[in-house]
Amino acid sequence: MKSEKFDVKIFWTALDKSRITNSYTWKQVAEKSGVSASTLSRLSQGKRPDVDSLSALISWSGLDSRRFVGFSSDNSNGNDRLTEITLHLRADKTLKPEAAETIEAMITAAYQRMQKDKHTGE
Amino acid sequence: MRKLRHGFKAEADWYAQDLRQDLKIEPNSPISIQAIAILLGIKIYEFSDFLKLDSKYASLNNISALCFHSNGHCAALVNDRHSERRINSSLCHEFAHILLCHKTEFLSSSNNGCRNFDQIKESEANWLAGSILIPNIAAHHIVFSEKPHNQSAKEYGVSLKMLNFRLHVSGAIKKKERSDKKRLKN
Repeated sequence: MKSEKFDVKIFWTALDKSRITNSYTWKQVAEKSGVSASTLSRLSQGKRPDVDSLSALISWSGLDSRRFVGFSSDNSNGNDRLTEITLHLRADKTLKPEAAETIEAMITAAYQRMQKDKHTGE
Repeated sequence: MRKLRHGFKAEADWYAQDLRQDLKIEPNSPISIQAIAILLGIKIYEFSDFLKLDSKYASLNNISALCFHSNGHCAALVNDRHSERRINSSLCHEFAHILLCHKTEFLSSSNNGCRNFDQIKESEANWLAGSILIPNIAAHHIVFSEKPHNQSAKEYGVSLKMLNFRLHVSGAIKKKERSDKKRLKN
């Protein structure tokens, strides 16, 4: 089954381009659009914005919201695979291979737990 | 620490206040790391949820917290063998990267552990984390309340070292000294 969805990732990329073109910091985007910094950072993670925030960002940026509505496959078995890990980590500049392996294993397990929690509504 | 870009310190204080506004708490109040995590949509797990062997913990001894995201899901993993204040500081540092929308790095155990370490971003996240935990207005409030510093450090969930650093760099200590001098003159 196919469903029309708002593509948050592409919208974020377009918003970022708009920001860079105008030489704004994200703080300035927040102030000018009236959207809080926490909402912007949620958006940067790929989370879907609320309607009011989306409306404010569209209004500020002048982007056409229809550009970001497309068709995507409905993932009916609910299995989002962890295809890439993006990571914030404050540690020594060189992470030992054993530590990197352990971290990767933990993240994979945590991601699976998040998927399970999502489906059980926790 | 790399020199921060012009205006960044004021920007960091703005972020600290923006978060407090979102959480509907006073500008000078302590802030809950868990509340920030909920606001940013970040689920927190502990290392012990997934690590059972002491040897595995040993390899991660210098890591208090890390954040990751994929497919719109974001989570933090905290080293529950570290102190609460150390975890707070590390988590706040990672949240600072997220708030600043710093481009993240990919982790792969196959790249021999080499990391893409951006000193400017690290300096920004360090400064912002400190500002979030103790914004300028809180630093002034602490200094003028004349409470013992270790009590304030406990209240704000930070180390004494971090507290003293923020009290100095916010200008709160200097302001108090000037105020005391003026009072003595009068």
